[in-house]
Amino acid sequence: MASSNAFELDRDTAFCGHAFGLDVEADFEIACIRQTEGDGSEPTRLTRVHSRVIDRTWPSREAELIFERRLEDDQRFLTIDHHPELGYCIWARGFGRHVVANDGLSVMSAIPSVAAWRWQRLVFAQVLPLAAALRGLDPFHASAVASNGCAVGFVASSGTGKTTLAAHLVARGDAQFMADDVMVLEQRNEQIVAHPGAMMMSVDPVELRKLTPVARRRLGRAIGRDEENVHVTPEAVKEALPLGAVYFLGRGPAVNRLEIREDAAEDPRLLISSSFIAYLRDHHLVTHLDTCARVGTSARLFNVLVPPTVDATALAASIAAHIAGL
Amino acid sequence: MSGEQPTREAILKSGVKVPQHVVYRAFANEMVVLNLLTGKYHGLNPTGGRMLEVLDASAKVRDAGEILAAEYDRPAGEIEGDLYDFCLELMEYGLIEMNGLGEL
Repeated sequence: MASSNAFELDRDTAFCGHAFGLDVEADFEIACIRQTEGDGSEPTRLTRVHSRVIDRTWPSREAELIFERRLEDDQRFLTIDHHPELGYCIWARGFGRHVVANDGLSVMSAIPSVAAWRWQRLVFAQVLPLAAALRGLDPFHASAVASNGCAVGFVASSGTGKTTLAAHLVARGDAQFMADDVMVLEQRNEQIVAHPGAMMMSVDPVELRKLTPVARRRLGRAIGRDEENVHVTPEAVKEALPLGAVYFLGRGPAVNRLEIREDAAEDPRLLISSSFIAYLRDHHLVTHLDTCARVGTSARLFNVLVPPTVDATALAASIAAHIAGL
Repeated sequence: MSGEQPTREAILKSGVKVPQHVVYRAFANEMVVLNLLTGKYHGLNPTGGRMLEVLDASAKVRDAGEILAAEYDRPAGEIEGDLYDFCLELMEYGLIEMNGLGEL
């Protein structure tokens, strides 16, 4: 079968793993992804190339900028460009550049000479979630843990505490780690399942210092640190799990006491606006709508109103008790 | 067809077509309609959602009116008026097209 990938290169496979609902193969090592032999489905293949290869082959002038993030000094930090035939070019300053084919089956990866945990952050934060979406899965902007055989998702805007909550639940021993920041959902028959992501969490060091040594060990070893977070490698669940519940976290000074209300299903916008890949259109939007509609009827959905007086430790205790009662 | 607003009778005699670029799904208390051409989502309350479902499944708007009048136990004339307004609004947002509008 003729390949739609214009960048086929030597395909020696050094790594096979599974994350974000994808079998992943690469000609370079990718730590923090569970190594597997694959389940027989066609893998997404990552091929390492020199950045000059992408410079030569990516038609920058013909591509459309579809997403960007800028730093406070207005410097570009992350860009995603799209070419109708060649796919998506993802670049982040200091983290590398990747070209993802339109079908999500192949990726060219130009990896900078930095610590592995650093360049892998772009792979886990953008490259593989995009590949998953292009292959028909639905990435949500959420963290997730596993409890009693079900996945539990936490949705909140950036900086609100979904990672910290998940970290505390794992550290307490109340749950197993599933995903940080990207929860990939898939409709299987009449059920929605959540797939484990990469085995990496970016945790506030202040929160880590609150943990006992036993609790700290449950989050795995630290593999890197930047200005904001410590990056740890908790052991994750091995398989996709049915999505049992989603908690939508909201903080604000107007909230007087912690409330957990099972009324989130009343507002479909909470789910619909939780898509991780905001720049895809057409059939991805349909997949996302389908997934949200199914989640709305198959999982329990809660609004969590968190006052400023409730810290992450206390929130985790309350959520753990709530999950136990489901 | 001129740019004038279609009459109530013209709408009732026509059929509704939900174009391929419009997708709708039911949620707990709302029907969400997605227009893929604009990327915009629209919300319909449960009654509006049911009206869209019945319109989509009926050959003519008038047929949909009969079904909904029986379901909601309301006079047919009242339901037809609601459907007329509803169709005009959905057309304005590009969420439906009318089949046979203006034909004799």
